[in-house]
Amino acid sequence: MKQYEWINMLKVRGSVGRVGLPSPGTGRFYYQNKFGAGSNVVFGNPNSNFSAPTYIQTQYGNPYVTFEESLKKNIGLDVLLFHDKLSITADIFNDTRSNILTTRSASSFATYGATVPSTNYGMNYNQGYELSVMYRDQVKDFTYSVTGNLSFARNERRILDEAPGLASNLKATGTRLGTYFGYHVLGFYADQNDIDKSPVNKVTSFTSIPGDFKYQDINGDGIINNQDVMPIGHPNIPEYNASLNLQAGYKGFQLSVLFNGVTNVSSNVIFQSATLGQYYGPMLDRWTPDNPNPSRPASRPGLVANPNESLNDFMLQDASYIKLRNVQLSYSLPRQVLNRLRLNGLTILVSGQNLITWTKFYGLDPENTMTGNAYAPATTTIPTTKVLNFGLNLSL
Amino acid sequence: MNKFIYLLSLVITITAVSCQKDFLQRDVGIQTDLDQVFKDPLQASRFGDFTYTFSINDYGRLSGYKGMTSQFTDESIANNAQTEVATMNSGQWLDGGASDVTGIYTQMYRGIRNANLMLKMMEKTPRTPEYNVNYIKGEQLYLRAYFYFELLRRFGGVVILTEAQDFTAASEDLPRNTYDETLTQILTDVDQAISLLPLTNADWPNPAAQANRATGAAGMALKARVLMFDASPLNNTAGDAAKWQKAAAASKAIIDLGKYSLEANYANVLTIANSNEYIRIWPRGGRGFIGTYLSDFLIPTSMGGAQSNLSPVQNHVDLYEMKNGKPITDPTSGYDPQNPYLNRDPRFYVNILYNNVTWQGRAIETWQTEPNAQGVITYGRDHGTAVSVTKTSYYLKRLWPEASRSGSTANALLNYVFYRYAEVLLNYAEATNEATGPNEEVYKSVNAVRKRAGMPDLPEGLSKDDMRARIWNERAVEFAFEDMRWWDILRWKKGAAYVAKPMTGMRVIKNTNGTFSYTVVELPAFQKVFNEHMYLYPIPRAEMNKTSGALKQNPGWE
Repeated sequence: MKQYEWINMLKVRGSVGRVGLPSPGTGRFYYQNKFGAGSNVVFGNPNSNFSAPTYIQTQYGNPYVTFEESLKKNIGLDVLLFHDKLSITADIFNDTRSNILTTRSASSFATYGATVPSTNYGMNYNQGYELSVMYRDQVKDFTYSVTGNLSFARNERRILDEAPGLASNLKATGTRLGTYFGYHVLGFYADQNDIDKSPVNKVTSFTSIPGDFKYQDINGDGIINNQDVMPIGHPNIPEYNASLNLQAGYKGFQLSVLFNGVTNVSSNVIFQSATLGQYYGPMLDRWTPDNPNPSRPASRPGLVANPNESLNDFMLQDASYIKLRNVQLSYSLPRQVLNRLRLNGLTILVSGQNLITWTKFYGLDPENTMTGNAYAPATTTIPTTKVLNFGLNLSL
Repeated sequence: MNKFIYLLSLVITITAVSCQKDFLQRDVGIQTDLDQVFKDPLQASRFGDFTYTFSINDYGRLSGYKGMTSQFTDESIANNAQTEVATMNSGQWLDGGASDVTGIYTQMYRGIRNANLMLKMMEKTPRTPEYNVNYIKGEQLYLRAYFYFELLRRFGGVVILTEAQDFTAASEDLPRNTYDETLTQILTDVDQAISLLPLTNADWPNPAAQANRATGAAGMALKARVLMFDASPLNNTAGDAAKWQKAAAASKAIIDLGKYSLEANYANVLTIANSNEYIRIWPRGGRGFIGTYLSDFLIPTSMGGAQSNLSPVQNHVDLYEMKNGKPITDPTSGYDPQNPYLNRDPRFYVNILYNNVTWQGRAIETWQTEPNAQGVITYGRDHGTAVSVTKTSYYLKRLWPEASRSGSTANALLNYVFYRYAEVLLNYAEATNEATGPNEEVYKSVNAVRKRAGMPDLPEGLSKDDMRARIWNERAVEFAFEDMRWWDILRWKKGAAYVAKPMTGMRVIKNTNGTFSYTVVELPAFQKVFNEHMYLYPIPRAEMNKTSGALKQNPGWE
């Protein structure tokens, strides 16, 4: 075995587990019906009317309600090599979550006439891997380590409460959590003639103008409306998460740098400021007759529901980013100096968070994905803040 | 030490005693079983009263309170295109935002379920003098008939459920019943309700608190309305006179009760608390100003409101006859297009606010000037280019009590009227005219309504067709903005003639010498769509998505 001495540890792990999970938000007595006071109804003389109390069913219980179930499987590998200098941890997992408590309102007919209790019905499937590699070493007084993490997770909504007759482009079953549904852009309306011979855009009450997005009429009914959206882009939850952590120390100095990046994520882009009534800079490259291949559609008077601002695959942006998440540099005074000062410890440190972002996304922050297509809430999303700390740690 | 042992044993005893109770026991007062609820007559009757809450109970009920069915018609337009009105105006009735399609479908079935549950469970409740099973049963049957009629007049035949389903059956794909089956169901329920209920409000025990529940007379009024609907061109393509006869008889039965009469003053019809004209109303206590349909839907900022999103159109204004009883289209009527508001039907002055009329202590100014040399147009203070001011130079007066003004704490009554006696008279006149022609009875009924309004009698010797036109006009004017016009247009099959017509408004130009000139202008931006298949609403798309084929869509909406 001598030739394998460079392997300090090699461990293969595996697990299969089935767990029951309480459904969020249902409370302990979800199996029961409950009754209580309802809104009043008015009878009598309008001048001195009598507000009659009513009595209603306040909870529609499901006597068959049970736990949600999660079947988790995982295979992992732990390796330590070269005198523990290199450590590798790898995992492959999948997780089938079933019996998810779901309101069957999309498949229950309105003729039933009441709230349908939630039933254990839905199923999600999640699979992926995680990999972590660390290398650390020491050269005399210089210590350093490099840690890289990479994870990938992809989920699929396997069973959802959806009406069987729902058009296939509107179905969320089979898509990932956080999937965007939006219009597919075919191009820009070149002129009025182009508008006239295209399906009518009824996305908003505004009539189309040249330079507006030409959306695809998916169901072919001659009208473009909310029935013509489809899954577009990546979900609003990143599928790849990666980080890189570098640490180094030399005598009293300690330096730590953390990068963090994600990809396979999309975020909507807004056109205009909600409060200022102004378009953002990229709108300079808007459609005009002289600029038929722009990055933005024609401009319209600000602050109105604009059909071009409805979620669509032209404007939905790749929200991948790499951020310099954290940097910290510290210096601890050596023992001899401390003794002279009659101190137990003195550390000076500088640290910063979210210092640099590398992204192609135009907007305040790729990290806060903008899921809606209404610009007002999107612009009020607060970006992550950049923080700089200076510190002095004194121990007496 | 002894003390300590004593204390300890006490604690143990208390714990032991308390443990004898089931500590998982629910809070008292929370009931978990419908049978339990129905053991108490008070709770049972309150459970039944909940059925009322599913009624349609106000005029402004679309987009919160910012839309009315009036805006679907040639009465008025929606200045700001509120979704729930705009979807109807543009013919997008399958859109989820068309709440008069989607919302009502759900709301009515919720009411029907509650009525069905009540009808089934009420027998289990012990009888007390207050728990009058006849009345309760009558109320539920009346309401069920009312709900099914609201569905019938929109969708035609619908799925009939007379028993509440178990939730496990909620996804059962049920076919629609036919129009005739639904109609029969309504008539069966309403006939039984009439026989069970107190006849009028006054016959309810303690009317001060119980009036305006369902009554026998309300049932009769509903029945008359249902039979009118069934006899109308929409459902009576063959022109079967027997259907009109039945409708006439149903209205005559109410007239013959001798319990109802017209309110003396038309202007008081919605605003008075009690009237012999009301057959059934939804009593509305004094209405506030801010955050209600008043300030947020009808009243422009210039009058202290937040926005005005309904403009009565010229199409409607032109329907008011001259005071002498002649339509303005009659060359001998004396109508002066340059003085259009002089000597009109007095109801015009009750229903519409127009340029230069005095309202809340000042003149309404919906004039504008011709552009000056710089091209600038000056507007009167109640007019302008903003979205939420009138687009037609008119404001709605009918549903805006004069006491309702900004800063005033006065609460003005404005009831939602389900049925009033004038409708019975005009139903009777219309049905009789269709069944037998313009006989004396027809004249008597229409003239009674006209007389109360301050209008002269209809001219003698009208043909049946002329009489029909006069009655239709009478209804348009008498029930203006009362959630009536839309349903009349649908049952008359006059959508193309009235709704798809260009909407018009009045441009009032203030001349430099202070006089006004009037021009009728078309409003292409407010053009409404009405196609032949729109006499029946579509079954909501969300509902059609659920079916595997049993539930069928109405023609033209597939």
